[in-house]
Amino acid sequence: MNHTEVGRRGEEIARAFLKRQGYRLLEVNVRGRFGEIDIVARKGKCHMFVEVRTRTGDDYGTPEESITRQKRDRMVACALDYVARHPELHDAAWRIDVVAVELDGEGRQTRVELIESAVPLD
Amino acid sequence: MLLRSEGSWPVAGVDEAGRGALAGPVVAGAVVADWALAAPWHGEVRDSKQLTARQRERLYDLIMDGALAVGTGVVDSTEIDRIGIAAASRRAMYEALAALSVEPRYVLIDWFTLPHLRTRQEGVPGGDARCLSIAAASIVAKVTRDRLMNDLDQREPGYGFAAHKGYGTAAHLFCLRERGVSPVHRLTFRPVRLVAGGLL
Repeated sequence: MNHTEVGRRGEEIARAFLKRQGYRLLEVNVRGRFGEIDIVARKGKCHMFVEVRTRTGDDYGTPEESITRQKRDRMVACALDYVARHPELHDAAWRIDVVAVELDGEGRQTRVELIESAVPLD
Repeated sequence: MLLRSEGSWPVAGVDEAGRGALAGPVVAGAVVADWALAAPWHGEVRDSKQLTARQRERLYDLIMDGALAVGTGVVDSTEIDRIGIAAASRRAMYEALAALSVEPRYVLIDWFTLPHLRTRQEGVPGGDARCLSIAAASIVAKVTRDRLMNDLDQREPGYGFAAHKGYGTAAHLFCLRERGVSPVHRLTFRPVRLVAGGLL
């Protein structure tokens, strides 16, 4: 699998996983001024902006370890920009989560985990 | 909800406003009302999410006139920074309930419950649309907070608090970027620091 295929497979797995966990997916692959939000979801009163990080067996480190400082700031920027453009979210509680997906060499899922508030907002 | 028959009356609905804002207080409203005498405006209350500020003002007056008791709780941005927004929003709700002149025997809250409440309670999913008392509490909270934000706009002019009420609109983000933070911004909220610091 090439890089793009790995990413796409990871996002499929992440979406299915979140739905199983009772999250309602509002939008996927939202492009904005600061980059792309993989998934916008909601559970109860809380909205989440989700970044999917996918790693295969040959990569070093865990998916969540691969998020740089700049990437974190950009995720906050993306979320803020999204909220600014959606008045119905102005008073919503929101957080930025990561879904970590790990695949083996054949593209089979070996791990999927939701890390709530992976990018802390306080 | 047929709570009256179970000896759970009076019922209070509770909701909060301002949780998602970048500045200003979080405000909670609590409403005890007898909705049995149906009035045409009750239906409007139920759509509290879709209301304009003017419609909310009108319904606010009707609620204040018609309710048995109304309470509000306000926790300011300094306290939000000290204890966190989740705890601050719970505190506002406790205060709103404590301010009621009629003690409820049952409390309905939008989505969640209050861990230290002695009264019997229930977290109602989507409660602001499904339950009149919660919807009314939501209107009380919003209008009370809007008025406080109008006052803050006088005290801290230049941010447009009267227009956006401290929410993260494009105009607010612009002012925050240009002017930096005011004393009523929530400094522990990372997005505020990032925008004010020119990072976004």
